[in-house]
Amino acid sequence: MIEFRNICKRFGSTPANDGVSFSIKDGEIHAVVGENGAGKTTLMSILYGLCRQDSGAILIDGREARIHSPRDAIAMGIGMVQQHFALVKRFTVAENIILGQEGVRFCINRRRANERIAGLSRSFGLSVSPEARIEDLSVGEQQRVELLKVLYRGADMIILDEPTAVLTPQEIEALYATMERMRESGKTIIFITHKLREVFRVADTITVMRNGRSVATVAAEDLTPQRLGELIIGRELPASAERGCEPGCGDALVLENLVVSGHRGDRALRGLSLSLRENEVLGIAGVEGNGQRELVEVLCGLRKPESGTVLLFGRDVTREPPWLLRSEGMAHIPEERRNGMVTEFTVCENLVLGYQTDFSRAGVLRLNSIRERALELVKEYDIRPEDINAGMGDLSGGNQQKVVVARELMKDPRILIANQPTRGLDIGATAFVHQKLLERKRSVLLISSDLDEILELSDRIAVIFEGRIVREFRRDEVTLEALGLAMMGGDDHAVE
Amino acid sequence: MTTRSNRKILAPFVSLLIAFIIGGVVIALIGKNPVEAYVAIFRGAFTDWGFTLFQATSLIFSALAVAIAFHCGLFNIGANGQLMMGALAAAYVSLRFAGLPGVILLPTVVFAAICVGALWGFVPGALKATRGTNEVVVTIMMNYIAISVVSYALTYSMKDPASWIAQSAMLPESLWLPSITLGADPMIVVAVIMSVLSYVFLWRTRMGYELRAVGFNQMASSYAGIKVRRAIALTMCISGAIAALSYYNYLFAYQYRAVSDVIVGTNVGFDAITAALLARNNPLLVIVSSLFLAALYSGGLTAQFELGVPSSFYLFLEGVIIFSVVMFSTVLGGKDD
Repeated sequence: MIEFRNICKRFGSTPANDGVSFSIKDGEIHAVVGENGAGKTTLMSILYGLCRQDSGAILIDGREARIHSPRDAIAMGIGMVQQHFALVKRFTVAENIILGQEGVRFCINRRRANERIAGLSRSFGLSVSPEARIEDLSVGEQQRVELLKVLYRGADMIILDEPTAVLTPQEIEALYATMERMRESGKTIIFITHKLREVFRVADTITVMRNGRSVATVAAEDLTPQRLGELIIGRELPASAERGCEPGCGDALVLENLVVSGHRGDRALRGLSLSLRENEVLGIAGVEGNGQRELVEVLCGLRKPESGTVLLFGRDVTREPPWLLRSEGMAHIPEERRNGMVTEFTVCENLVLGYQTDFSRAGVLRLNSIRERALELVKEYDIRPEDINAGMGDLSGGNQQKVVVARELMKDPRILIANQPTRGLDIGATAFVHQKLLERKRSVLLISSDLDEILELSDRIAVIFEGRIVREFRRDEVTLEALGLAMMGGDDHAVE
Repeated sequence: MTTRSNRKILAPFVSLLIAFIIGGVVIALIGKNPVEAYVAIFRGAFTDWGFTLFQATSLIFSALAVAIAFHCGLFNIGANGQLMMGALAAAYVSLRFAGLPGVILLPTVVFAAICVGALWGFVPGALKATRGTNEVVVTIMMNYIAISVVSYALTYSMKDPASWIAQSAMLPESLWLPSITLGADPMIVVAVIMSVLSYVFLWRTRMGYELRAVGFNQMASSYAGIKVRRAIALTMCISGAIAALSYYNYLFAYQYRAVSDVIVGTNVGFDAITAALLARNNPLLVIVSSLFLAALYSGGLTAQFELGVPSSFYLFLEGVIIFSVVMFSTVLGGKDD
């Protein structure tokens, strides 16, 4: 049993943990939920020895545990899969798993390691080839490697920090199955998330954190989603987003027969055609790795297509550079947050990234108007800490995302490419961003692995599979079954 | 957060202290009294402060060049070559157009130096931007090219026929700089102004903003529509242009000739890396760090004269300073994540 007793931790003047007390029973899946900045990740970092609490204690099986480093944590049987993977890209799966393990001195017994890894893969349903190189694996597969790493080290208390944020629906299901198997084999799982659905799907017990405190620890069956949501945000849930307007009939963006090679030199888009109407939200559904990334890169001018055309309001912009597309009224929320911000810059500087020309006169930055705008946005988007001079790197992931979204919507773009716009955001912030996406007249191309999000926001849904749009649905005709089938490529009603 | 930034400010001082301790041990090992040696250095730096200012002037220009390049994520090791080419261009143009009145000649000469320096920076910058070539390697090579060009020019085409050594004729008197006091010349004022301008450029202008964004995160910069390649090439141009002014005071306030051995033998472009590191690439702090290193250098000469501490001790100390700055800025400053 792990018991947190009155854990407090401050970063500078802001308390991240402010008296957290609860306990986790052996062999359960324990979800820790809460909004961004509620202190979940900080608490887990303390448990894993990445940082130390200012006061309070962690008790493991009744004895106070002094965890000064991840090494101590590992020795106590604690393992952690972090949001950002720590894998050596050029190494194989097996090499990554045995990297830094006890017992490895000069010679590596590859065969024995491979056998053990294969055994673990089988018993926990983590299928991945030990000889594959990390750089060739999808995000979901890389996560499995991280899990295997933890299991290989013999951890029996496993922390998963927002593990589903990067996964496709299928991968998420597989992860749930793995978690359940781990529980069956007696392991304790601590699962950080802010997706309500997931919590009820797998968790036995739920601890809710809010503003650095643990608010409640409850058995999952004693809670309704409604009640849990209220516990998390401390008030009633916001209503779901409302449409600001109906789609028009003119075309905002037309893609014709795009052929694009991908990151690995293969064909990522194989003749993709698509049209986005004015003021329409078009959702792109699909299993990750079917060309979404390349599609977005082409649209943003970061990747040149081999053939095909891109028409933006009737104008051919196929091979135009990013800055030109931006000046034509296209905004972009990138999939990877670090591509949308400069961590070393302040919040204020990040809020004008890409719009620095609009905020300068004769080449000189208009610092006053930048600050003014930044203050407005920080307030409007409830970005915390409420300090425009805070370093971007000191913000939580969710707040960083808010900065990116705030900036991209700031100039009221005509077209928004929103790639996973709410990844890593909590319920309140997700609803807020959804509201923001819809409130004005604009065309939105929404790429998301969160089907709920696609279904909630889209006027039309296009399914991408192996680099083509294989099916389109209107909002009123779509069913989850048909959507799921099309995403797996098992549909012959292909769009001409 | 406050403690972290305090530590960052503290880091250069701690590293200097450690460098001096190690330096003291070495002085003791060669059989001299470290305390006496440091006192001599200190005294030397202040008795001959005109020379210190003179040295600092050159250093400031080159250190600014290095610092600005660093802000764009570029390591300009080529300040030495850029300053040599700048000096050569200034000397050539001033001799070629010696007949022009000073008011016209001065800007022409400065412009020529800046252009040639910018070109010497542009080549590695453009190669980096278009071909992804490592700018460290290219700038080092450009240094060698600069050495060859300068010594060729001053040994053959630009050589003063009346002279026994490889040097140019006397430079036109209309460009000679008045000495303010004890050997320091007006270029120190220009250097300070340049520091302020660099600071304003980096933090107050759009281009400076873009350059820093590229230095931190190229991916995010290109997503944001910043022309990354242009920024890289341009930064190296600016860097080279500023470095090119480093030896202006040598030419027009000290030797009044371009002397091949002096120009080719300079180390200012490398000392500048230390100065930029110590100043953590802040253009205003570059003034302080350059003054400090210049003081150390001229004090070191005094120590050699009075106590027989070899002048190469300065180089040794500089090496130790770089070493400890790099080490302690990571240890004390912590990781930035």
